[in-house]
Amino acid sequence: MNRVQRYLIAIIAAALMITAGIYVYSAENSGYSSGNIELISIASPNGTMQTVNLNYSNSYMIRPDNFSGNTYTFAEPITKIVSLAPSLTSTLYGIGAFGKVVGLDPFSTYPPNSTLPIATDNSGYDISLEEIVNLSPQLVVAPGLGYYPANEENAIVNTLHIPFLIMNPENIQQIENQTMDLAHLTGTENNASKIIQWMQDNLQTFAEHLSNISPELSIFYYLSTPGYWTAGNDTFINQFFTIAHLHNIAANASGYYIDSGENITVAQPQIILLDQYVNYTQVESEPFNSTPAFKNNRIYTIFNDNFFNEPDFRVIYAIGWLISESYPGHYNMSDITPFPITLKYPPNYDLYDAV
Amino acid sequence: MMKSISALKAIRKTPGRVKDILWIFIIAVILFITTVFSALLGPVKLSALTVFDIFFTQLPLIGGLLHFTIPETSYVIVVFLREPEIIGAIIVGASLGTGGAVIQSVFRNPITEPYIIGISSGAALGAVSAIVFSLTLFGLFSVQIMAFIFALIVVLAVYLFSFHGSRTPPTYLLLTGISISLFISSIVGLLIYTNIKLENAAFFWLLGSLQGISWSELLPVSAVVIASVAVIWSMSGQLNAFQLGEAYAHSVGINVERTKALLMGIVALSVSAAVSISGLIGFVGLIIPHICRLLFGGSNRIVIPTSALLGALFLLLADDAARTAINGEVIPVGIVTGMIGIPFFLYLLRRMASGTYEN
Amino acid sequence: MKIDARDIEYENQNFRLNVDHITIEEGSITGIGGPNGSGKSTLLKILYGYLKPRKGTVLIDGNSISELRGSKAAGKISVVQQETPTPMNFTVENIVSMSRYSEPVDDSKVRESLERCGITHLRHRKFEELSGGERRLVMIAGALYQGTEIIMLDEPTTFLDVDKELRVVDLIVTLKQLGKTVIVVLHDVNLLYRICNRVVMMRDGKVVGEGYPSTMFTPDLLREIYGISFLSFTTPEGTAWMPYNRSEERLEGVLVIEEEFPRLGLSYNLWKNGMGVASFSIKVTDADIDLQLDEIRHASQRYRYVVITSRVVNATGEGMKELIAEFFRDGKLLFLVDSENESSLVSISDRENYFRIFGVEKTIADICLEIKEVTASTSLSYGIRK
Repeated sequence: MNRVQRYLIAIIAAALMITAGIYVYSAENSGYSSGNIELISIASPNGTMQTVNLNYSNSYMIRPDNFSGNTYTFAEPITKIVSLAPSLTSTLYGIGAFGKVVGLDPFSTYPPNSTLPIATDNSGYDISLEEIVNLSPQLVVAPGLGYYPANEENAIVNTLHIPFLIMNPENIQQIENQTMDLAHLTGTENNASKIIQWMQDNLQTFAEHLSNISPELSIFYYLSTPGYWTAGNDTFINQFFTIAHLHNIAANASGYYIDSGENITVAQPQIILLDQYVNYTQVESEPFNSTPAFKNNRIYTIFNDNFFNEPDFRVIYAIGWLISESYPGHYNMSDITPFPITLKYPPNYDLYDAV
Repeated sequence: MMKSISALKAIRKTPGRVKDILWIFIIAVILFITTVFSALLGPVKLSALTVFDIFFTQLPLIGGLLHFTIPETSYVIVVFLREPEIIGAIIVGASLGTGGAVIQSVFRNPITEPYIIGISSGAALGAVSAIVFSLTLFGLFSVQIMAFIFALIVVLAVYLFSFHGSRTPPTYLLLTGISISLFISSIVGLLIYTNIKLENAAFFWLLGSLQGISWSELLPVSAVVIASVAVIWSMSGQLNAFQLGEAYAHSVGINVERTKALLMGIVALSVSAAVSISGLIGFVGLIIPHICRLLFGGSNRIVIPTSALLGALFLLLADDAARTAINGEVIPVGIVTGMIGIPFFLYLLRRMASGTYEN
Repeated sequence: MKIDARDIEYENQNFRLNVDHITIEEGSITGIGGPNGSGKSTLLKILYGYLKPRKGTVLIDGNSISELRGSKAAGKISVVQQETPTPMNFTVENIVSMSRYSEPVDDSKVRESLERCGITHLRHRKFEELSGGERRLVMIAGALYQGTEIIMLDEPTTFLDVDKELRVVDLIVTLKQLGKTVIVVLHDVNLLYRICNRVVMMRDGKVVGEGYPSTMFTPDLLREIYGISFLSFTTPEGTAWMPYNRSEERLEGVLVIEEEFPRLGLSYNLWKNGMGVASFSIKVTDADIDLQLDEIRHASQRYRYVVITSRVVNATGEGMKELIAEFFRDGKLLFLVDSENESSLVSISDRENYFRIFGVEKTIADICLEIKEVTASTSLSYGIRK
């Protein structure tokens, strides 16, 4: 090994040590090790500062570079928002804040006919950092980071200097809290209160109409093929089944998983719920064709996955539909109260009219 | 087309080092031009004038002389989003190209990439672990650092396991590398399966991406890669000798085990560093060295520098294609390298090799 | 530059190597021979330091090879391997100059090395396009380029075409003439005998013999080393060794050339002793001796053994002496039965292997028995039948 090689190897070693030093230093000083931000402070319409606790909606803000406090303060009202999830867009529309939205993801189809720029790639999953820089919003709300969370988080923190709010409500209570959080950020608290009240009222009605259902019907939710994909307990849709007084035969396990044909045969579900994209022919063979659901022709296809998958106020329509299909004598869709906010496109405008 | 081919053939016959230096210079120039033009590509349309203004302001001394009105968003996009991605492509491509040439020489096997000594599975294990367990003990760059550390650990394990007596025969190294890699990959699969919500993040890390690379991670990686390429280039003679067998290498004065460990260590450092910021981008390390050998002859003295430059150029073009090929879509760059690289390589093989790889 | 190897002990899973003491003298060609698996290549690898023995030392000019730095050892010893993997897309020039990889390519030295090996025309060809023999010559040129005093070759003639083999052998001799010390592992007994000044013969990891091949090689030693019998022939080029399988059962046929009215009854007696006999009578008085000699010539092609009486030789004169000379060249065994005690024929040859003379003191029966014994002990087993 000659001298030149020795020097170069020394450079490599030095670079490694400097890198290690940089990482350790930035880890100590960026305050990043303290984790994400849970409290934000925003001025309300009458000028007072309001503190919002993001925990209640299962949300957090990605800590911007050099910010070491616990509460992130928005000094001015927010006038430019980018929304990267259909549920967030729907909520913003519902509370009347859609005028502040400057960028969307491609799957935000409610409200329809929007010409706003798309700030992700076509899959909706990969955040386009350049677009976001170009739109220069004051806030980005997203359900999570995209394909390369490490790289994106890095870019968001170091380069973009734009607050990223990750919102991921997992149950109805959190949906209500998220609605109110977004309302605080956009100064539309009144509308949010009305929506939350509307949700509560309808949930109450569901409970009353189903109070003397006994026993509960059993249901199998066929999420996707190939394989008998279904949703166990601990999933979003399972809560709908609970509210609808339906017993999910897959609830003995958690998360999304592939169930076994044997389990389905043994459980003998009385209702089979097909995802929007699962073809009916899938249930014409074993193990489904021996179930009571098949024999009694109680197989229902979800009219629009969006109502079931997106954690916003429109889930009320999903649950209502589920109840009306499962217990037709006890409830039907027309029992859902009208939406309290007047919108150009009411939330049920694209609802499949099952009544 | 035919004229340029015969012109190229004429250059190929020019004797000795002048020809080598000429080729290196030509490729470097092409790389430079491609770099400049890559900055013009991206989802947000920026005028070429704006981009060149931004370049000008970045030049060390004269940059501050003239003042332009440059929108801040454009500046951020070019300097903090596009430039790191472009430089990242160059550095990672150079690292992979050179690494491939070294591994192919040392293992005397034309069908190997630098990943085979355990880098890919180790980096995957580190990155996926960091993603799945939400590790933040290294702060922002947890995924990258974990990938880097685990890659090196697995390479070390492969190296230690392949000792046979006091030597590490290349065949053992290869087989041990493959076996341990497969084992680690199963663990990675298990991690992903039991955390199915994160499968996308894991999957796409594995496919590789150059987006979102920032300057603070790029600079140390660049230093490591550039220094590694330089060291490896200076050891071209030893690399050549390895191709004639380890007994031959010993007989011409090379300390076989020490040199092999040194080369593997440098490749592991360089490629692991690259992989930690870009994920696993495949095919570059496999085919770029062969293209260089076919075009410029097999001596590592020319293959190493041209593999670095051509690897950089290739990955840069692949990344440009990945960003712009389909409007609104960003194809993972690892897919592009495979789809462009392999057919081109097959074409080149048929045109030029005529007998080189026949046995 | 002398090589001195002492008390070498080496072990791997295949076998064990034990060598007490070998010295290689400067400027000599030393051959290492023995059957496959006897440790020849292993010994060579220990001598140039690629394998480290468990015990023992190898001294090059007094310096232990294990303590020499790689480049120093490479300055003293160059090695031509038995098998060379094919590198990717290298030219011959690349390969030759690779033996001094840390220096710039010395064009004139490359040319000189290629010239000595007679492959200057291959200089810019691709290595993988060459035949096995050409590649071997390239590697030898590389060893020359390395410029060392000691050159070691590991089975350089294996798998080569005959013409390339000859070239390699000539090259090895040339190397010695250039003053180099050559150590060459050979499996070919004849090459060991012909070109080596000294040989080290190995079997099962041990040195069975060391010395000058001309004095060392005997059929017994070779049988001990290789496990089969060897027949030695004297040829114009020197002694040649041919392996064969001893077989008692086969008796060969002999051609007996007697005068017209045979007085000794050789054919009859040989036939009675169980040998295949073809008998030829020469009409000595016939004017057409040449025609008869021609017939004998044709007939003799099928026989290795020819029995002639001295009377026939005397009677037929020059023509027969020429024919006899031909028989010698063809490698036949001649038996001269000297019935009249005319020893004038002894001068034709005094090489007993080819010419056995039986005097009149012996009875015909004895003579025939002896002939039978000789043919039985020297007959070869390939395809020669009764």
